[in-house]
Amino acid sequence: MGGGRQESMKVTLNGMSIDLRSNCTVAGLVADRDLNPRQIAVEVNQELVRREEYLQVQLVDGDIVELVSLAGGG
Amino acid sequence: MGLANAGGREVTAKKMDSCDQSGATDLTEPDGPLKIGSKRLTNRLILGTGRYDSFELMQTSLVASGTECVTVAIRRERLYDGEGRNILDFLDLNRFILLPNTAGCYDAETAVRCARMGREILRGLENPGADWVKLEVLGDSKTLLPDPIETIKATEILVDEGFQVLCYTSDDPITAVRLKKAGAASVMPAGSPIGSGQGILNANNLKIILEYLKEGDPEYPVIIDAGVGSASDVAQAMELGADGVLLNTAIAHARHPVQMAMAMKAGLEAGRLSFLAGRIPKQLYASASSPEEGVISTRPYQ
Repeated sequence: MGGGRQESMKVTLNGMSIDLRSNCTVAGLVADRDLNPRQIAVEVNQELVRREEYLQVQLVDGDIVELVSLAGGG
Repeated sequence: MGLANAGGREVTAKKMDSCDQSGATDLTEPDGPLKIGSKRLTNRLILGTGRYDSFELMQTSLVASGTECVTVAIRRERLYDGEGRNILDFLDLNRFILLPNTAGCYDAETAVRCARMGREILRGLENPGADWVKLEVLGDSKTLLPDPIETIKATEILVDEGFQVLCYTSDDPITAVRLKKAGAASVMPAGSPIGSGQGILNANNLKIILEYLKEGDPEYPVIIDAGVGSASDVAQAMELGADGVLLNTAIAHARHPVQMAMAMKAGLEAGRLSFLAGRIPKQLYASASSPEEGVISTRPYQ
């Protein structure tokens, strides 16, 4: 999290390495994937990011992001 | 023989009628809701939403069971199934309280992270289940038995963070007591391993758990979670005095899930009523139901 200066960066999203434009926020990541923010939760480096903070939290190179939703379970 | 004429039948019918009316007052005593923390459930069955062949089958089965609370898992985003559909499109959030679980977590730290993410999603959905969690911290992938130490640790952290924690645990009474002391809103001992369909393997331990946890606190909710195979298992759990039953696979993998959901509903009602009604004590010897007086035979033996 924090500011990033490169053109692009690598983050790990749900266990997979992906390229992202630098300065991408959590809000941008969610919007790029066409997800309904009400139905998901996001964690960056094992810390929960509240929905109200998506616009403020900027991802940086090497961040580990978990993006989860509900699934059937017992 | 007594039905020889129409007049006789009429008299009998009138008598039956008056008997029904006098008995009815005793039958109307209502059962209270299941209280878990700040929540109230009028139906005592909690169902899982996993392992169904289709979302449609899940939806119909949940409705047929009468449940008003269903568990859901938190998983890496794959919002859509193969046909581009989301489980949320098949769960009426006005009907069901969602109970997010931490299934698949093997340590307290991961389970706590999972619970926080579940709460975040349910807040987004504005579902009343947002502040509770079904805590599951496993110790072994073959038996899916819980890790008691990690479960207690996670319970303490989550209670501190304001969660109402419903704890999946084994049928060990000592762990159950520790979980209640740690602040669990409900302790949920397993009847047998998750998905095994073995029913209740150690009824005596469950009786001890019920006695210990309800001592001086009779409304403390104890829910039998896991191992149910058929409706009689649900009835047995309720007859033991459990406050509710949580199950998934026994319905989802039944040959006819909707029929099994109806059976589970009936089993739960039968077991609950039987518990409230109070069973007769078990005795070694027989006790005749028909009067001893006026028997026309003689006894061959004393």
